[in-house]
Amino acid sequence: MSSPGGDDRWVAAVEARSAEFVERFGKVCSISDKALSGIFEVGCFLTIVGDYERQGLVVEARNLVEDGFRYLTTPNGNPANFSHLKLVGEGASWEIRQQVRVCSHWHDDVNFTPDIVVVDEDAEIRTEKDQDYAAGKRRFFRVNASSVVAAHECKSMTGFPELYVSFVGMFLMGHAWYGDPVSKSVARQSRGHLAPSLFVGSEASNLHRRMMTALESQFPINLLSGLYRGAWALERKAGQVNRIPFRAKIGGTAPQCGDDHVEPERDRATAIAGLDIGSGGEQPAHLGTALFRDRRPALRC
Amino acid sequence: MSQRLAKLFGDLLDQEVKRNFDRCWQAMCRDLNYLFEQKDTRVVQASANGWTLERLRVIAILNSFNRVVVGPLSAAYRTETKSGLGRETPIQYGERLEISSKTAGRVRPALDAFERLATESGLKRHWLNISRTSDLVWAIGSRDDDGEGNDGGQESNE
Repeated sequence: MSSPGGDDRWVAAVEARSAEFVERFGKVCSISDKALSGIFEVGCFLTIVGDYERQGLVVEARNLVEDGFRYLTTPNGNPANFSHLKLVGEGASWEIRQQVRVCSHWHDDVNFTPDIVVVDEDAEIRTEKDQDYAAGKRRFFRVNASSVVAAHECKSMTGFPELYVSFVGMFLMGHAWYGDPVSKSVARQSRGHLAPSLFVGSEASNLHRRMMTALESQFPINLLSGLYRGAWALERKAGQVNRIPFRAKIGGTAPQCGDDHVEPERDRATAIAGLDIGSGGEQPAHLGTALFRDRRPALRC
Repeated sequence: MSQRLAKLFGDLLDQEVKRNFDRCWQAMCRDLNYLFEQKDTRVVQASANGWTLERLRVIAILNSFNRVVVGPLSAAYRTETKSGLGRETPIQYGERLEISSKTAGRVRPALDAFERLATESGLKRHWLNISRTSDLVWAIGSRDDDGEGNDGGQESNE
């Protein structure tokens, strides 16, 4: 690639500055992809913590290990062995946890793991063994969606439309309060929990921003871009994001599997057959839409 | 020359990160070539302001390095909490990664140095965060001081 302008002193000067940067800070930048994603996630975590602190809530680190905060990085770990945060203020308290699996109120078999979850205080983390998880040898940890205040997701990348839309799916699956009076109280305001938020590293283009704003106007969520600039990305519009007013027990009232009043699950063999579409096996007629319809919460629009 | 710059940064990086970095700057350079071939009004404007194709390629490389490497580091190391989490109270992420005052002491000077590199080269900070090549060229060509409308220098080095 040659310069069309011939000798370009500006390019040479940039190259010289870059060489100096590389010489001095090369080691700092030599870091694995996984570590960079982890660092970004921690950045989003600190951004959320800072948002609560600015509102005067007390943030207490719990279960520290050797005076350090041991961050749970995968849903396979036992949350009891890792640190989390307790938020206290406004006459109530909540917890911020990382990588805790959420069991959807739509169906007991719908489980997923947001990066960061704010839950009502003392939310029970259910511990079970499941034959389809590590052959029943390891414990399966999950918290009910009816305890979730806000599930946040962090993406160290450039955002794209399908990412934004898929976050709406995560929101619908993981927040039992949607449709309750809580969701009507969510608004763009300066106080309250951040509504379920997708944190994206790069800046969004104008076209994407329009889509993000449109989705935020239809659902009580936030789609936040530009997190590569640090907490400033949220601080600059702290009063313009969707927030859930502080109050105890936000999680929701929708029935949840594991609750006494919810009917028992259909048998495992039937469920597996329903998933194994490509096997050519006979699929029970009642699976699919019928199963979905039976357990579907009332339409909430 | 721009390829030499890309190699300079790329040689630093872990294999997977290098792949992401290469993909990023190469895609931007392809877009730039196309915009120049098409005589896009945005590049005509940028060229009129002295931003040649080669200069824009250099910006694309710095932009890519920023988005792939510097950005994720900034997210954690430019964010501080009153409770001291991630500084006085270290965060242990997995076996090898720690975010603490100690690691911040190493990373923050690198972030500041990269920002200085950009500003001393006459680049606006937000140019390095723009992800679409055509938006980047538009920002450069129109001398857009702030893609956000009101940057106001609030994201300073503290």
